[in-house]
Amino acid sequence: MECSTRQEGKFMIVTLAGEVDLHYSPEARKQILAQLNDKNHVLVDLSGVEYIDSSGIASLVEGFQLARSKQLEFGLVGVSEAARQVLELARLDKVFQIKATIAEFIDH
Amino acid sequence: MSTSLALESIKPSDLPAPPQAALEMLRACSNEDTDNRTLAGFAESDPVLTAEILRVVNTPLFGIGKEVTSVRGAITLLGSRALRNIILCLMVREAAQNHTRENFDITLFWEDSLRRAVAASILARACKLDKDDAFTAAIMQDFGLLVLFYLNPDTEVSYSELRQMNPQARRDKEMLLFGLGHDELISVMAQNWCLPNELAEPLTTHHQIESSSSTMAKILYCVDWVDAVFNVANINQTIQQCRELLDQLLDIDEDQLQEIFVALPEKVAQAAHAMGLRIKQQSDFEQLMRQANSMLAKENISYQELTWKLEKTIAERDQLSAELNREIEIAQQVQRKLMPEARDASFPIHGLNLPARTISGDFYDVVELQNGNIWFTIGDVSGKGINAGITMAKTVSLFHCLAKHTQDPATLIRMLNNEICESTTRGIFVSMVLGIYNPADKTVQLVNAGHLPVIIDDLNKGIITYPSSDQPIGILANTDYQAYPPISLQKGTLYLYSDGVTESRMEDGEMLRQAGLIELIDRHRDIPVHERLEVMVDEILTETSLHDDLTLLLLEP
Repeated sequence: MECSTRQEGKFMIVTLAGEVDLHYSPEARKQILAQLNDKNHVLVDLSGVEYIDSSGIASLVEGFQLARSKQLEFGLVGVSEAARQVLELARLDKVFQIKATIAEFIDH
Repeated sequence: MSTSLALESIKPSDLPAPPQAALEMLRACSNEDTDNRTLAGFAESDPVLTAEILRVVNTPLFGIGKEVTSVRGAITLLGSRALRNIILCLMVREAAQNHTRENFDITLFWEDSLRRAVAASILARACKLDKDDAFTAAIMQDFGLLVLFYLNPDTEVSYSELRQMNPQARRDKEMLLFGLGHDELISVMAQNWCLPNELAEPLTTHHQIESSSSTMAKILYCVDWVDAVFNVANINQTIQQCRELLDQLLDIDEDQLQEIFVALPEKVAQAAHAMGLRIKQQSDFEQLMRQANSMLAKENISYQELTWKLEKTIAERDQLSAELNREIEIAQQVQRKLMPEARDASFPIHGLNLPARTISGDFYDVVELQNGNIWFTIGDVSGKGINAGITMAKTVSLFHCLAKHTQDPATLIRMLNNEICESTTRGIFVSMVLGIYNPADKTVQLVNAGHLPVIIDDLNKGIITYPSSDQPIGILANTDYQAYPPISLQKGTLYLYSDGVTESRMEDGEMLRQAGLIELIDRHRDIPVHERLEVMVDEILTETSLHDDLTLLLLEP
């Protein structure tokens, strides 16, 4: 898994790529939570995700819950087909704010 | 680092030389034609030398028994060769006193030289060689080193440091410091000192014993190691090397070497007295061995301690691991207890849970109500391990308890969601299906909260799936969940399963997926329901090993 962060507008973009599984999701979780604890609005870019398991989804859920408690924005962007299937199957598309591009979040 | 010396650049005048009278005597001693009277005449022309010769001869070292009062008498008793050797030793002593430097501790040098000399004379006797020649050669053996220090006053390493090395390392260090070994220097001095060949040859070759046929050279090499035993830090190792060398080169066994070690201190003191040299009180060999053994014991103790600590740590680790395994086993038993026991064939619901790890994140449960309705559920906690196991236990317990107070799936899942949301951490959520079966009209009402699609195999309508309509529980409190309208199971069977089933890898490496499960259902439709469950699980497991928790639940009226 690759994990990187960058700023765009008011958002910190955390980009996850490759396989986000039990082995790598702790790193994803660490990056997401660190940004939120620094009081940043966070978008997680999932465009490069080839596989995501429930531990990876749990990292996103934890990010969602923390953002909510801190009244910060949290969204998913560029969700890959592999990630989309998992999110839709569990109806997590009802939980997360999901948009195709970062611009859509910024313009919102 | 001192400037290294080239052998050819050293002039005889740079080197210590004996006084003229002594030199003439040495020449005369080496000449077989010289008679005792002439020889005595040479010696007596130098009163100081005469006095010294007589003093040496009358010491217990020679053990003559009666006092010798003239050089002539000494020659008569000992022979000209012995006289030559006495003169040589005295000359070395004089030259050494006049050619020392600050970093060359002459007392230590004599201590080493005398120890080598005494050991050499004992070894020479054992090898049937002239013991006095051996004594003299050994006295001269390291004289070259003294000269090297003298010619290089700024040498950064002192003699006392150098002598703590074993002979081989010390010789290598000499080459590094001086560009020249003491044995090479002695070859230049041999001429100056009119050294007879029986001394010059072993002195120049005692560090090339592989190519030397001289037993005397081998003796000189061996006594270097004997002396080293008294100087180096690693006594035990040096003694061992010493034993091997003496055995290989001189055929001297361990007991003989032991005798030499034991005899050395007293004989060295005797020789020092004979040569008029002052050396420190010699430690006896037993004392040295006691030190060495206590060092060895200390090392052994610390090694044993280390081994003991390691064994203890391993035992503690094993004990902790065993305790942890016991705890996990208990957790597993508790989990198993939380899931319903197998029912007889007449019961409509049959389930199976196989944990891939010891603690499962999957669960299923059945609760029979007093009115005959039956609650059932299947679920999967996100993530793995103890965290997932605890959440699973809580969810099942809550389900089991709360199911007795309602008959509405949407209400029950809402209650469960609010309870789980209060306690989960780290984003853990639970995907689950729960439903209530009415045996009277053979209908089910169910809600799918983020779980895999429910499959109903209906004999009339075929396969119908009921995908998740809502999100998993544990994410957001106060979420509304929608139940599916009542579903008739008059001619149908309901299948609930975890992703351990659909993500099982088949022989071709592909996942079973929902399509594979439906195909499996299709093939085993005619088997009685309680047997069908096991047949299906067996088939999945014959094709794959268990990678994920696997749970399957069937409801057939």
